[in-house]
Amino acid sequence: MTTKARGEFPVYDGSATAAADLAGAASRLRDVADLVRRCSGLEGRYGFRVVARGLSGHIFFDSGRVIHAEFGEDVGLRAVLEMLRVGPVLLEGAVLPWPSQPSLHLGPELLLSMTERDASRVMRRVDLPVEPPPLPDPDAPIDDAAIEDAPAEAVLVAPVQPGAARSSGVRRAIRKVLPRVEPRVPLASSRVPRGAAPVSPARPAPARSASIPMSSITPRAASEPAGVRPSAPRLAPAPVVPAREVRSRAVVVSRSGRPAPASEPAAAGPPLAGFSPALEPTRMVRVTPRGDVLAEHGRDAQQLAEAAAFIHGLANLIAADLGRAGAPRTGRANVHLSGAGVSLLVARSEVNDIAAALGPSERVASLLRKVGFKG
Amino acid sequence: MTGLDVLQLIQDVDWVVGSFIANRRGELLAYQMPPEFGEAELARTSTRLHSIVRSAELCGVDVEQCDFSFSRYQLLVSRCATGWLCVVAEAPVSRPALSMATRLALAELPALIESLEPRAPSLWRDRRAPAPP
Repeated sequence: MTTKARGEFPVYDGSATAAADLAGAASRLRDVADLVRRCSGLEGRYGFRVVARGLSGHIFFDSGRVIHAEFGEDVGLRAVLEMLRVGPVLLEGAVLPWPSQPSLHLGPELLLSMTERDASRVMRRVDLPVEPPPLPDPDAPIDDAAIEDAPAEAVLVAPVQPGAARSSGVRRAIRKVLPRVEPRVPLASSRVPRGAAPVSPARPAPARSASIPMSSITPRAASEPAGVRPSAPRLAPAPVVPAREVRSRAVVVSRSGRPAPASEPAAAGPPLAGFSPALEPTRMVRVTPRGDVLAEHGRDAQQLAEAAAFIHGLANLIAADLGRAGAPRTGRANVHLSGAGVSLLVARSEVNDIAAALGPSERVASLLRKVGFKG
Repeated sequence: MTGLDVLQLIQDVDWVVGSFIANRRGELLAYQMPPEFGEAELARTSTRLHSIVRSAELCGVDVEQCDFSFSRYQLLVSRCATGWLCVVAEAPVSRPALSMATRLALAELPALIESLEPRAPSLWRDRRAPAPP
């Protein structure tokens, strides 16, 4: 499929008249609902980049129907609803290629009917506090009973709710720490119709994916059992090659050629003797990226702070290694370790602090939902 | 189900990108990932996972499961007696389906890891050897 740029709006298969009409109307469109109404009567394919409130995304129309959307970290229906809910937006020409596979088949009437009815039900997967809680006064007496009775999220959730009015100083502070949204590169969806050849890309595949010679990948040790489908290629923007050549295969790591893994700096010290997190109140800390403890609650919070800083650093390295080519790297890797009814959560807040909570999984459940680990 | 079929079992779940296996010392043993993921990155990730788990254990958590969330991807790590099964998936993955596949794979994992450890070098395959058709 060829992408034809007309004015500021790449139009995929739409008519020139409609494209010019859209480009002229863009400045008058207030929000995505207007855009949906505008495109509902148009034949052809159109894609737009949507920018609002520090988030960006894309929405694609085919014959008046929304067939794919991405917004922030949301994809599909959730992304559309977020766009509809966000209010005034800036519309630009799409920078992503046409999606290899539609994720939505929604007509404009149904979509617009959901703006009032269902948008309020959409929960953002990441809804961390926008402000750190006030630091405890070191001179003030601590009421242990009151702290232990408080809900787990009370220590981590900011006193100002996201929707509440904030002073201009707070807004400036938030704007400083919010990550800059980079332009998205072509859609890196792993969805390719089974048995179909990859879609021709709008740009060449990332160099990283091409740097691994196929000769270095050994075939599976065992033959494929009957009835098991071969694993499909997982990159949409890949060169047009036979599907069999890009599928992932099981590889046994050769020890003879494998270098010894570099030793990571591990946290030192023995486990806490006689300490059982399942029986203790939830311990929480907030740490700056540089390791300064902003707030702490519970026993041995210092060790938790050290572990949180260490885990968060490694998690970001893992995210950098495993984040797929083209995926935005936000530095917001969240980690949840659990076992025997105890959970340790390490997450990055929207003010760039590292928040950690350690305690019984049941008590940490609300925090897990806030960072998207449990729906 | 035998050998590396456990990785194919995981791969068959929609939105799974790939998976890899590490032993309890954090050494990468086997993987089934798209070509864009290099072995060196996976080996580093396995080592770092081991360090993360170790530091959590020092805080008193007997880690059985470890979930990472970064951007729209997730790394889901499950422990068995002899090592770790790590699954990279995209956000829309069905957690119940993946959970069931993981449980099936974990049942086979100890025997697989045992076969991949040095005691059974005959099962290893030199990556430089020509691939059979």
